[in-house]
Amino acid sequence: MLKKTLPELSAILLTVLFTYASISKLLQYDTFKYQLGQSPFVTGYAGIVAWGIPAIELVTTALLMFPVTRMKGFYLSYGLLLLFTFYIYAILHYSYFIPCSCGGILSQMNWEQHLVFNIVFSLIALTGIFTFPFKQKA
Amino acid sequence: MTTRVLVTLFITIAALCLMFALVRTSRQQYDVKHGFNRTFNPGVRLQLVKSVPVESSLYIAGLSNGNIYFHTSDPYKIFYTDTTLNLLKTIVLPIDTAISPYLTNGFSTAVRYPAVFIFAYNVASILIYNLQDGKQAVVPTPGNYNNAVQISDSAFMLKYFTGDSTDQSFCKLNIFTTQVTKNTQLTEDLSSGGMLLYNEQNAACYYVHNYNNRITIFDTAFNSGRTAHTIDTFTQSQIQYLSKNRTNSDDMLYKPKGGRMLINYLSQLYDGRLYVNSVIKADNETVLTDKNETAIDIYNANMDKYLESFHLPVPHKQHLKSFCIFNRKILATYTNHIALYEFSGLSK
Repeated sequence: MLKKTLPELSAILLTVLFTYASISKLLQYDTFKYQLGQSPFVTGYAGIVAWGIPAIELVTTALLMFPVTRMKGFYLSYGLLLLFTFYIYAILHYSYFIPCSCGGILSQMNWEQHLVFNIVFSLIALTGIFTFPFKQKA
Repeated sequence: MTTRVLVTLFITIAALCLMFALVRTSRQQYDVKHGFNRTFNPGVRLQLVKSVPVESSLYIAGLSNGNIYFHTSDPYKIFYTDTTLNLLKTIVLPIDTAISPYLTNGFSTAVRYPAVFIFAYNVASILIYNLQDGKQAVVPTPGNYNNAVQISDSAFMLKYFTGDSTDQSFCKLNIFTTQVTKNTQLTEDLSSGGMLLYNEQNAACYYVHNYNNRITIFDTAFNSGRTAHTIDTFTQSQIQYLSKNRTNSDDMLYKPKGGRMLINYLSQLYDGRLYVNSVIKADNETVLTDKNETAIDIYNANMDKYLESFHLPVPHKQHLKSFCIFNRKILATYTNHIALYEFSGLSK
C-alpha cells in the first residue's frame, strides 16, 4: 500500500509545486527577470533563465502527470530542485550580497527557509525515483 | 535499481558542476587587474565606536528627528535608536494583512519622521503611515517598481516596469495628487540592479548601476540627463557582436555576453559627495581586501572628480547590508550586527 502511495504522493506534491512555481514566475515575469538580473551568478543570462526555468518547470509538470513519463519527471524534478538548492547555498556563501528571492507565495520564505524547503522537495523527488514501480518484464 | 542510482548520481554531479562553474566564472573576473588605481590616505582610518548585535539583519531606513531608523525583512517592524546606538526600540506598523503576504522580499522602507513609507514593489503602491497621528494611506504607482526615492514632501522618483519593450524607466509620482510624470528617454540598461538616490543640493537624481560603472544623473523634471562613470573600470566585455551572416540583418546587432560583474553596490549622497561601495579591486590594492573590508570610493556630487577611497570593514562571514554617513560617522549594518565608526573625513 505504502509502496504504491509514495510515488503517487511524490508526483502530486511535485506537480503542485512546479505548476505553482512556473505560473507565479510567468505572472510576475518582469519582477522575476529583474531579480535574476540582480543575481551575481546568472545576471548575464537573466533573459534566457527568466523564461527557461518556468518552461522547464511546465515540462516537468507535464511529465509527472502521466504514468508513462513519470520517471523522467522525477529525474527532471530532482535535477531542478538540486540546482535550486546549490544555487541558494552559493548565494548564501559565495555572493557579495544576497538579492531578493523569487516571487509568489514562496517569496514569503527567506533564503535559509528556502534552502530547507528545496532540500525537502529534493528528498521527495528522490523518494519518487526510488519507489516508482519497476516495469514488469514480459 | 542500479540504473536509478547511476542516473541520480549523474544528475547530482552535473548539477554540482554547473553551479561550480557559475560561481567560479562569477568570481574569477574579480581576481584580474582592471586598469585603475585608488587613492588611499593612510591617515584616514575608521575607528569602531560601537557594535551592537541584532537578531536579524537591519537596513538603514533613514535618519530623522535625531534618530536612526531601520527596517528588517519583516515589513511590520521598524527599529530605531539614537545616533550613539544606545537602545534599539521597535515600532510595529499596522499593515493590512491582505497586503503583507505580497511584501515579503519585495519591499523597502524609508522613514522621514513622522512619515513611514513602505515601497511595496510588487503591489504597485506606496504605503504611508504617520507615526504621530496613526493615519494611513495607500498611493498607487503606475506599475510594479524596484527603486524609489523621496525628492520632496509630496513627490517620489520611481524606477518602474513600463510593461512595454523599454522594460523599465523612471517616473515622478505626486503622492497627494497621484499625478505621474513619466520619462521615456532614460531607459538604457535599466534591466539589472542599481540604486536610485536624490541630491537636494542640485535637485538631481542619481541612478548608480550595479553591473557597470555608469551613473545616470537627471533632474526631477526630466529636462536634462547625463551619464557619469565611476573610476572602477573593468575588463570584462558585457556584449557580444552577432555577425550579420547569422542575423541576416543590415544593422549591427549585439546581445548580452555571459555573466556580468557586480561593479558598484551600495551608495549614498551626503554633503555634496557621492559615496560608492565598489566591489572591484584596484590594481594598487595588493591583497584581496574584499575578504575583510570593502572599498568606498568618494566623488564630488557633480561627478567631475574622484576624491579618494577608504575601506569599510566587513567581518568574516558577514554581508554589508547598508551604510550611512552622517556627522563624521559611518553606520554600517551587517548580517548580525550594526557598527558605528568614527570617520575623520577626507584627507583634503
